[in-house]
Amino acid sequence: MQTTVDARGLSCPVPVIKTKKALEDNGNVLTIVDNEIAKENVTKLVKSLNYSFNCIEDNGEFYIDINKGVEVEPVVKDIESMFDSAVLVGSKHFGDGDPDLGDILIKGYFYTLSEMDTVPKVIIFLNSGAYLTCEDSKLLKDLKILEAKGVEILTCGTCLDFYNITSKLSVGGVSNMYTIAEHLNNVKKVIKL
Amino acid sequence: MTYLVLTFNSTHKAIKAEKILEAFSTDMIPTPRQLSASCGISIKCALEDSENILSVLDSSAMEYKCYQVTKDGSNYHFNELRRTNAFKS
Repeated sequence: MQTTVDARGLSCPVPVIKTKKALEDNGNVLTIVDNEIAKENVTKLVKSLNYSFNCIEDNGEFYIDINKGVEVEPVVKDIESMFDSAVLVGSKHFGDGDPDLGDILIKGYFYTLSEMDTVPKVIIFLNSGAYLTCEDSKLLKDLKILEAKGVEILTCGTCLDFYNITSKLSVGGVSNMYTIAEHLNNVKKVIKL
Repeated sequence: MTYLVLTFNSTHKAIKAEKILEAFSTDMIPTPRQLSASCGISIKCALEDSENILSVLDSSAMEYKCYQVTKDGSNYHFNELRRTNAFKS
């Protein structure tokens, strides 16, 4: 039997929480959301749980039909080359002080990270750190190298929306606090910049 | 992969050089450990731009050291190509 989660008009991370709860007790859940970011976040949750889904857009509304029965093969990552760690970037500058120097340091950090053989599992950008994954960021090249090495690059959707740069996101995916908190709980080490 | 790395006497000189070289595709990078005698920030640029870049820096009277870097897997090989006369090392 299908359970419907009507999450229209609800803001992040409520649609994700409601969907996750519904999936605990039901095999087939239809989540309805009315914005792109909510859709991304719900489908990201479903992917992380390895459930199959089908998404239909109708007039700006998204109908996400999630089926627990059919498990999808999880994406296998090359664990050898990854630290069980998350890098949390809460600002577009590295450290307090002169902003120009902060720019150079953060660029330097990610350049160096991209050159390393061992990389973190996930890099999370929030608050003004969200600018770093958007158009015109000097970090895009390095972040794309890291992404190609299997690092998950996530930017806080609330932050993109607050700074009105959602359409400028150029690397990685959009995330919400639910996913962010989960990552921070699950990894062995969090590196906060 | 082969590219150029330019090192300078101070962070401020490196920032100044990056501004002078705005027309080229360059990257500010931390100075590789093997070259760390000079300042902590260097400029990485493409080998094919070397002639133009060095002539722009020379005409701006910048002091620098220029290395050719070859990266093979995780091994780096550095070869000093040129240093200006007044470069303190």
